[in-house]
Amino acid sequence: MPPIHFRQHPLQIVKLSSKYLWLLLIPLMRGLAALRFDLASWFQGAWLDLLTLFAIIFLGWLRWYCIQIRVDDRGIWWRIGLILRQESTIPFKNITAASAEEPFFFRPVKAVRLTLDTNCAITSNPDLQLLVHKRYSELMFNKLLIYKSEHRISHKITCKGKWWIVFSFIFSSTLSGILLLSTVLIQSTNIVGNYLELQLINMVNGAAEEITRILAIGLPPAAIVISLVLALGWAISFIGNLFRYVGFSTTRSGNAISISNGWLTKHTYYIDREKINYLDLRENLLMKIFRLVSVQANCSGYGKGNSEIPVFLPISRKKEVVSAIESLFPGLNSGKKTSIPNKSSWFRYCWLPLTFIVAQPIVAGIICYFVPTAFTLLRFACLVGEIPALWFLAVKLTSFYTSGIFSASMEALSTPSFYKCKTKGAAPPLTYLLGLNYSFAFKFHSLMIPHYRITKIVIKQSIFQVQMATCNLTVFTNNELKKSHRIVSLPIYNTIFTMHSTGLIGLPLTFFPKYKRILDSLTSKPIKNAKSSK
Amino acid sequence: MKKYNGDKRAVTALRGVGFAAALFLMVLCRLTLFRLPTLMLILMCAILLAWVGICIFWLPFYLLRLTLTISSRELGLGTGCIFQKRQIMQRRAVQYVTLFTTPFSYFTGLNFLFIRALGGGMIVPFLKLSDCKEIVKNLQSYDKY
Repeated sequence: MPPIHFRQHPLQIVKLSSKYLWLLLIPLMRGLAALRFDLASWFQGAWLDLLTLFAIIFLGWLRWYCIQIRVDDRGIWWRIGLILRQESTIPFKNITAASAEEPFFFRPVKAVRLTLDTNCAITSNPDLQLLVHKRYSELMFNKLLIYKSEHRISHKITCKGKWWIVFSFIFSSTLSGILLLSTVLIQSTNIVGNYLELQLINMVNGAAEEITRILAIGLPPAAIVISLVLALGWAISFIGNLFRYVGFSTTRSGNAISISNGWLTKHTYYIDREKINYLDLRENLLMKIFRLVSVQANCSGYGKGNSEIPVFLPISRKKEVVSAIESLFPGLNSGKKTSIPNKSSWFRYCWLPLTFIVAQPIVAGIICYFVPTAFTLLRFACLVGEIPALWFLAVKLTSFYTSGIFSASMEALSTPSFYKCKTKGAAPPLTYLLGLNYSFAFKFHSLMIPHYRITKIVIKQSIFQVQMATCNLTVFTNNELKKSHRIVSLPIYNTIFTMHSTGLIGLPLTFFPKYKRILDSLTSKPIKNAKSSK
Repeated sequence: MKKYNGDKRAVTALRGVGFAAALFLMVLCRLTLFRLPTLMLILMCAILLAWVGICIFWLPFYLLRLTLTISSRELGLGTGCIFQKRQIMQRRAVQYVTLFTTPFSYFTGLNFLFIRALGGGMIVPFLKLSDCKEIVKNLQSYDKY
């Protein structure tokens, strides 16, 4: 098929002109309105501003004209610049993830934001960002899918109705909602002054007074205002997630995975299955109680946007998620946990939440001693602060019982050799994975990382841990950012044995401290305390 | 497979640097806190104790336990005195290596290797200059394909 040449969507001229173009437009429009649309008088005063505006738009058009793009069967090529030119080519085989975003306000003009990313570790922005016509975005995605899914085997997994609402509820973040609200207020201040901000403040104050009157339980107004702001932030994030993740579906065709979701803004993603660093099965305490799991994929370029969660499978019952993962990664076989924390290590997990629980009333008491008038507010703050601390303690206790490492394997992802082996009747090559179960803050993570995606392993022991034969294990994975996964208080001999037996570590045992004990444990009984990882 | 240990001459160099820094801090204390003799004495004793503890006791143990093992597949770095640390990095993950040297590092042993990988890195301190150059050449010649 001959290469296809095109340029970005003409709407991009507006962005390329100047991001401060509207700063010039608004005073011009205000001047026209002040002169009661007397064009002649207005033109006499504003001709220089109009000339500047025309020059900005012309330069924007010139920048747009000089960006050329070509797509053929092997990759994408683009050129930027008029005098100082820059040409780049990304072969399809190096693309890790691509995304197409179609906001509702772009749909009448069929414009789509297209991004492409590779493993070249530029963390701030995607490798290529374009605003193109919808047909070129579909062309690009078709090319990627054809390149990676030569055998056209499809498995589609969709998110059912109720689970989408549950996912949006659980993964809404107060912080992201407040950040979004702040951005809107700051941007609106530039256009309409403090009007929106004042309206919001009046609304929150009014609501706080109404709640104080209704509840009549002596809560300080400041506390109610803070609670309302936090609730508003969470509600904004929840509504945003509802619109973002509606209609979520994951489809596998060969080594190409397509993900689509969204209603107001439609999102389509392409991920190269071979370039996924690892899958992260995430739970919080509530999800663990109801046996619900959410799966996220770590892949360069996926989930890079603002407030974007790299969702692979939103949320479902554990059994359904496991079978869905097995359909997307055939031959996945996880073993039992071979290294889990010793019973005596419980304090290592629980010391931090216990400190919060004990310290809060003590600190509040000390402050009350010096500032007696703050008693009501401090009592409320202490009460409110104890709830997450107790929740944190429950999370850490659960983590103590569920953390550990295990080995897993799956059929190798390289499609040609896999199918060659299958047709000849020989066993397919295997990829070995290291499984990690751990918790960070309030979330539980269960990872399966292929050995070839592990960059570094750190085994650390304090002087007390040397005596107790335990260690802290940290695993670093291939990632654009430095990303590590840490499990504390694992028995060192079981840990080293697990990694040694699967070939993850090849160094001799003399490298590790007190290696003779490791040697004895390897030649003696099988590993104790092996538990199922599922 | 080859094993490298820390350069023992780095102990002498670091003791000298530490002594100069401790002396500077004690003079600073003397000049600024002469009106508070008790506090000045406490601080000067603390600085002296810190120098003795770090440079006389801790440093030799740290350098004794510093080992870098390079096999055909991976790099293993063992460091730490009170907190023992074993870092294992796959050779195919290494992207590039930077050698950082100080003046007269051939004699002082104050050489540092920064090994960069996608998603992680490793800092190997206080190796001999000849060893550092050998490691850099070894890692650069690795063919992962």
